[in-house]
Parts: sequence; structure tokens; C-alpha cells
Amino acid sequence: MGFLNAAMLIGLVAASIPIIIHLLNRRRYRVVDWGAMRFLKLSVVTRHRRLRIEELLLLFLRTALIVILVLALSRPLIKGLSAADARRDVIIVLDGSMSMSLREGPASLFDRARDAAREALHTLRPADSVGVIIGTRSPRPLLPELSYDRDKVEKALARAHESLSSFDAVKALDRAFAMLRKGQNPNAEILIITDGQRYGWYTTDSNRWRYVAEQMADLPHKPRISVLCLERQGAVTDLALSDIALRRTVVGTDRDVRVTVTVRSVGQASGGAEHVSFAVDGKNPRLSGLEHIGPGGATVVPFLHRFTTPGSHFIVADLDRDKDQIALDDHAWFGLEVLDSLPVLLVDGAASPMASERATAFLEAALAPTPQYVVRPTVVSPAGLSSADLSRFRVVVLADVADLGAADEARLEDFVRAGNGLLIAPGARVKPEAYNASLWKEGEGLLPAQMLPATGDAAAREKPFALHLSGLTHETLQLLADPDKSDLADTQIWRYFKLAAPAAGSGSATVLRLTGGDPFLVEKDLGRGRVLMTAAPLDASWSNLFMRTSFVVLSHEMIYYLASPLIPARNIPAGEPLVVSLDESATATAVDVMLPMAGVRTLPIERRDGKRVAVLADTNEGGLYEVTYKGRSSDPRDLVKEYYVVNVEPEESDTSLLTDSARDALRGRPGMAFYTDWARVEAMLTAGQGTREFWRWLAVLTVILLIVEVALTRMFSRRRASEVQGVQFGVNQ
Amino acid sequence: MTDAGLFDPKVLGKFANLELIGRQVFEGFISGRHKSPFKGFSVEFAEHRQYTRGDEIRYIDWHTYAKTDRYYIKEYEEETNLRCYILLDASGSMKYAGRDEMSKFRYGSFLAAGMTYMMLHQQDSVGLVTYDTKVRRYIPPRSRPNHLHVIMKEIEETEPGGESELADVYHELAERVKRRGLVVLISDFFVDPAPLLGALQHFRHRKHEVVLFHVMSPDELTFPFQGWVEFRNLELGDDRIKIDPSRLRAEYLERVKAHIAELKRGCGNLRADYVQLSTKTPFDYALARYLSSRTGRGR
Repeated sequence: MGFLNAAMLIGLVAASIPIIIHLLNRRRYRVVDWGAMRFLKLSVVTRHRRLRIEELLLLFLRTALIVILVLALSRPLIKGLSAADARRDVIIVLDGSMSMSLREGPASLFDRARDAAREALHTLRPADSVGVIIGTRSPRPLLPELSYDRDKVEKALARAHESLSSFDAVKALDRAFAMLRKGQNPNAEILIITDGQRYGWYTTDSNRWRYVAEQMADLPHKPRISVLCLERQGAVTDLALSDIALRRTVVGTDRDVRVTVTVRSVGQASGGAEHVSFAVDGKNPRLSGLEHIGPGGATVVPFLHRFTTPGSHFIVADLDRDKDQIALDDHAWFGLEVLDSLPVLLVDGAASPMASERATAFLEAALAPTPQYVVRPTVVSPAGLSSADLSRFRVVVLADVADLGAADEARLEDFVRAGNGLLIAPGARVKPEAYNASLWKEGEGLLPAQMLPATGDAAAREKPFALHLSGLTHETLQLLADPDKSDLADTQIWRYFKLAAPAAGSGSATVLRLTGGDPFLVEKDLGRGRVLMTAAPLDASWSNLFMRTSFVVLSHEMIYYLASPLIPARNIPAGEPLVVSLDESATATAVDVMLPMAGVRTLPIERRDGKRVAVLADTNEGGLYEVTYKGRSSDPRDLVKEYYVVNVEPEESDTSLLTDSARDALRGRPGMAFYTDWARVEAMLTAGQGTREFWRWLAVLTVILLIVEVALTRMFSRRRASEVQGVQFGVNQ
Repeated sequence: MTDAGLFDPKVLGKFANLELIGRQVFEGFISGRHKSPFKGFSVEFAEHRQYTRGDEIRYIDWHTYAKTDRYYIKEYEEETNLRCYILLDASGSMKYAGRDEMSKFRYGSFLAAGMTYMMLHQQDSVGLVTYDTKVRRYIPPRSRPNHLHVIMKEIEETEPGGESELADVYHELAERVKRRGLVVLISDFFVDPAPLLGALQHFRHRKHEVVLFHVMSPDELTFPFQGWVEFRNLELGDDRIKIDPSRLRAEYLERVKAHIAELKRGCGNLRADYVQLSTKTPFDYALARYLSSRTGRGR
């Protein structure tokens, strides 16, 4: 017998009230010295016993009334009234997270969990229904409905496996509640079998658990929640591939890309893989030796790769198999889009027959030193900008353009806001006042910073200004920050526009400064795109930057940086929707997605913000998502293939367990019981609940008792006969 | 309790009042409407004295006249034809007073005092017996005026207590009181009626006139108690009973009624006068009622 509202039991104290009143009444009798004792005694002798019985009967009734009322209010549960009452719906939640793949000996934790689930199935009675949920980021039931067919459940259980995903206790419970809502039986039981990994329990997130408590309160039968934490037998040895990174997001076929793979030791013991392998699109794996990594340590393994074909690719890194206890985090994926070309429109404000006098001559040469380079510059005059089809370009460079028409300015702003890039390199032809008026617009325009008058003498070339190179962290300058490898420090700038330093929070920032502190390179985010602006032109007029080897690198990095917002996102955080953007010309009517574990999902194409997209909301499984859809031609063989990846959450590799205080908190919040011992869980399951609330019966009994009490009191008091007349005697007045 | 109030002016005023009424009624009673069965019987010779005018001729001792040729009047010790014995119950139960009533004993004392006063004024002789289980004090009837003080003092000094055992006492007294007279019983009669009536029969057998003044407290007649009450026996200290009186009321009253009815019936059979007096009843009214009932009987 249990109580849903045990605190009310304090009210049982009130049961003593009638007894106390009774005793006080008896104790606080008045004393009367009485003469006519003989009549009293005669009466007492005959009636006292009956009176006493009446008295005790009323006392009992009143006490019982209070006791039963209090019991009713405390909502008691009665157990095992009969077999029928003990019928229950049982949901077994198997933690299907990556950490459950931890192997200790031949069996993984998931195998042990599955065995425990089987054992749990055997404790059930035929009248019990059961559902099994694999607890991941998107918990899924093995069978869609609660089932009475044990064989079917066991078969489904045998097929179940852990995933790359993380366990999410709240979602798993939510899913379990959804199944229980359809249950038929008066008792509900949820058994969570997990490794007790802390990640995924959200012990500090009270909102989630409040939600759970609310959902639970809505259930027709409050489930009993038990958690079986499978104990690990020793320290965990695990190396995890936590990260694959490319230095930049724009990758072409023109040159090598440096890929870094981070290997982290997340277990409590060192050891594990000795090699990490690296393969692009799953082909031609390359091996690299691993140094010893102590617990908690990490190492970065670099690889160089040149992509030969544009389009979607993926990189997969693997650690040696069977070297540590968690195999699933021995893989990591990275998806990327290799560009065929990166068209850049160079608007040259200094049209001149002499190549060296043109404002874009050096930039053009730097961006496309050989034809196979991915950046494809096109040079136009300012007049040509008006007629250029901007949609063909990813980046526009305004090189010493004196003035822009209002129409061009508006087009450029739309161009940037749509996610493209703009590089502004003002020179001698630019009037700061005019730029400020048309492009700065008090911070609302395209200019990242307000222009001030130029300083320095370009003709005399005396007292050159230099670039300040320490502490450079910006993406465009990463390769140039190392003074040993970069000759950027040798740059001499004779004249430059002073740029007002952007205020913090304005959306603009200084990327590179002169040694005097004035900004040399500033950036601004505008819409989805970016704008970069230099304080000097990128030609030979005001500086010798064009002569530096670094100029080539810097030019490319700036263009890549400006172009990167529109590079398709191929690496998706777990749980974020996978959005496939289709070209308008694609003939596809649906998109097929091959899921990481197995299965193909066909997604409809919809229109969002004017673009054709297909969205896969459920990306909780880590791994590779292979997307295919029909391309431009009607040829069925013209298929577009795109790779998207969702990686194991790095936290999932963190093998630390729920602390005692966290368990206490969970015990309190949704009322969970934690077990580490199967025998106790078995005893609990076998004993069953068979619980049933019976406060209604108690309430009815209370009313009956009340009626009886009132009736008896009336009956007894009628005998008291206060209306009986006294004895007529003498001349009584 | 000492019923010291007996002589306080207020109570004496009450007595004076009583005396007036008593005398008025009593004169009628003496002067013929009431036929005394004891006429001349109780005359006891005391001395002779010379006849003077105004003496009744019938009291002249003709024998002495024959011897001495002088008129002598025979003086009697008590010039009365009534001997009255007031039997005042001084048992514990008479102590009961109720909430703001006087106790039954006090009431009975007043009654006895009033009667004594009245009767002595009539030159009747009055005796007093106080008793509980046995006779405590026996004061033989006298008609001397100062006898009043003897009786009053006795009443005043009597402290009620002890059990009632009326029947035995009455039997004893019936034996002891040789000369016929009026026996006035003042008691609550909380005893078994049968033996009591037997004792009264004894008095009647001895040719006594018997008057029962049945004194009860209004509480005893209405039993108005509420809530748990411990009733302690006034006669026996260790006899107590805790009850919820409201439950017993009807039954109790039935029993009291039956008891009174039995007494009344018994008295009727014995031709004894039975007068019910609650302690609220005014003495004068009570006495008058008794006296009128006596005269009304035409004796």
C-alpha cells in the first residue's frame, strides 16, 4: 500500500481529536454532591453499559470518519487486489547511445542491457503489455504499439543495436509516456536500462524535468520509473575522434587542403588505437601513426589532400578497430563541397591601357596565377558593373572606384545581403566624403567603417607605415600570422585612408591594423554576406603590398572568406535539420536520403524563402547522410549526389557517470528509483505494482459513516430527552 | 454548614410572618373546626391555684372545693391538647442544595423552626428528633415558651451527615413515643418505600397522626445536568459515579416519579398526610397548604 499524497497522512493526527474530546469530556466532569443517588444508581445499573456502548460506538465512528477521510485525501494505492488489477503496461527503454557500445570483454554494455531487457520480459505476466524504446536523440520504439506478443518483442530486441547518437532521458520518457497513453492496463511501469552516463540526463535543467513531471501527471496511470544502471567493471580506455577540421570552408580542386583530425583520450585509462586512418569519399585510406595520449589528453593529426573533382565529398577518419572499449567514436566524418570555380567580379576604377596602372591588375594576377585556380576573376569598368549579371559572381571587388550610382549601390547591397561578398579597396580616386555619403550612411550602408581623409605621401614614399602582425586571429590572416612564413611584415604603406575604428557591437570589426593603431582591414556582416574594406588600394600606388608573397595568400583568403557564407553546410549538428537546397533547374520532385545506419528516406521538396529545399528534421543519428536527387536533365542517370554528415556529439564520448546527487535529484523530480543490481529490479518487477487508487471508495465510506454518525447521534440524543418534563411536585413553580 | 441564618433578622422576620399566618390558621384549627382526638388526654396536673375571674368554670377542681370550700383551679403543666414530634432527617442526602437553592436540611430546619414557633405559641408541646441511621438527639415535647430556644439551638447545631435509615429509626421512635401525638416527618425519604411505609404503619398503630413533609430540591425533580458529571454520594464519601446525565434523565425522572407515587399512595392508605415541598416552595405557603389540607379533612 502506498500513497500518492503521503504528506496528507499527517492529518491522521486529527483522528485523535474525537478521542481527546471524549477523554477531556470524561476528565472534565463536574462534581456534584448528590443525594438522590439511589435513583441514579438504579438507572446507571440498567443503562450504564448501554450508554457506554453508545458512547464508544460514536467515538469509534467519529475517529473512523476522520481516519478514512484522511486516508482518502492521501490517495492510497492498493496493491495486487487481484490478478486483473495487477495488469500493467511496461515500457523498457534501452539506452541506445554511443557510450553503450563500451565493451568489457566479449559483450558491450548494450548487449548487457539487451540481456537485462530480455530478463525483464520474462518477469512479465501474460496480461502485461510491453513496449521497447531505443533511447537516442530521437527515441524510437522497436514496435509501434504496446505488444502482448513476447516473441515478437524478443525478435525486435535481438535486432536492436546502439547508435552514434546520445541518450536523451527526457525524450525517451516523453516517448514512453506517449506509448503509455495508448495503454489499456491500470498500472504503468517504465524501466530504463542505461550505462548511467551523465550526458543526456539534463540533471541541471529543471525545465525539462518539469515538463516530464507535467506529462507524467497527465497520464491516466502514473508510471513507476525504475532505472537500471549497468555498472562498468573498470576504468574505460577510449580514444575518440572528436573533430575533423579544414582550415577554410572554400575548397577547390586547385590545390592541397590541410585537414586536421583531433584524437582525444576520453577514458580513465590510457591506451587504444595506434593509428588513425583518413579517407576521402571512403576511398584510398591513408594511415598516420598516433603518439601515446594520456587520459584527458588530445593530439591533432594533420593530413593533406587535393580534391580532384568538384562537388560534394566527405572525409572519414578512423581509429584502429578493437583497440579501445568504445568503437563507435572511433569514426568521424566531415562533409564538404568542393567548388568548381569561384567567380569574382573585379570593378576597376582606374581603367588604363597600361596594365600596371590598373587598380585590379595585381589582384587579378594574384587570384588566378594559373588557369586551373578555382578563383575566376572578371574585370569590368565601373560602367560595366551596371550591366554585369551579379548572380554569376560570388564576390565583387571595388578597386579604387570613385563613385557608384545609386542603382549599383542598391544592387550591391542586395548582392551582399543575399550571402555574397564585397571587397572595397579605395584609392586615390575615392573621395571619402562621397563614399561616406553614399556607402557609409552612418553605419547603415555597405562601408564597414567611416572614411576619414587619407594620410601619408604616396609620391615621396618616405616614412612608410607598417602592418601590425601580432595577435592575428582572423580567419583570413591565419596563414600570415606566422612571421617566419609570412613577409607581410615587410609591407610598406606610404599613404592610406584613415578609417574610423568601428564601435563594438556595430557589426563591424577591425581585422588588421597598422603599427600606429589605425585600422587597415575592417569587416562588416551585412545580411547573410560580408564586406571587407582595406585602407589602401591593392595596386602599386600607395603601398608595396602587391610585391609581397603574402599578397597572393591574403587575396585568396579574403575572397574565400567573402565567399564562404554561401558554401553549402554539410556538417550538421545533431538534431539540427538537414536542409538540401536544390537548384531551380533541378528536375527532382523528391529527394532521397540514405540514413547513416540503414534505410532510405524520401523527402518532399518544398519552398522556403523562395528556394526549393528538402528538409530532414531528424538528424539524431550520427554518421553519413547520402542525398541524391535528379539533376537538370531528364536523363535518369543525371543524379546529384550530396554528402551530409552528423557526428557523434563529443560529449557522448565523455564517459563520466551520473553522480549520487544527480540521482537524488532525479529520484525527487519525476520520482525515479535507481538500481545497479538486476536482482533487485527483478524483485521489483515480479512483485509488480497491482496498484489501484481507491480513494473513491473511501470517500463513499466517509459519507456513509457521516450519515450513520448523524443518525446515531440523533437517535441517542432523542433518548436523552431534554424535552422530558421534570417531576410535578408540590407547589413547584 | 451551620445554619446560622436561623436567627438572622430576615429569617426571623419570615418566622414572624409565619407566626401570624400560623396563628390565624391555627386558631381556627384549635377553636373547633378541628376536632382534636386528644382533648383532655394530655392534661398533666401541676398545681392548684385560687380561682380568679376569667378562669373557666370547668377547670375548677370540685373535689378540692368539697374539701376546702374554696374554688381552686387545677394548673396543668402544659395547657395543650397536642403533642407534636418533629422528626427532622439529618442524613447526608439532606445536605443537597442545588445551585442557588438552600439545602433540603436548611429548608427542613426552617420548616421545623417555624412549626415549633407556631405550636409553642399555641401552647402545644413540641419535641424534636434528629436522626440519620439512628436517633441523634431526642428532645421530648414541651410547651414551655423557652422550649423554643432549646429546639432552635438543637436545630442550629445539627450538622447533617451519615446515611439515611429511616425505617429503623421510625420503628425505634414509634416504640419510644408512648403518648399519642402528631408525628411530623421532615425528610427527602430517599429510602425504600416499603420499609418506610411499614414504619409509618407502626406510628399509625400507636394512634399517632403522621404528617410527611417530603422535601426535595428542584434539581432532584428536574435533573437538569448537562455534560459529564461525577455524582458523589453525600452520604457515603467513596461512592461516586461518572455519567453523562442527559442520557439518564428520562430514566431517572421515571424512577423519582414512581418513588413519589408509591409514597403518596402508601400515605393515602395509611391515612397519613403527605406534603410535597420543593426547597423553592415558600415556607408559609407550604405550612398553610398543609394546615388547610388538615382542616379540609374535617377532623
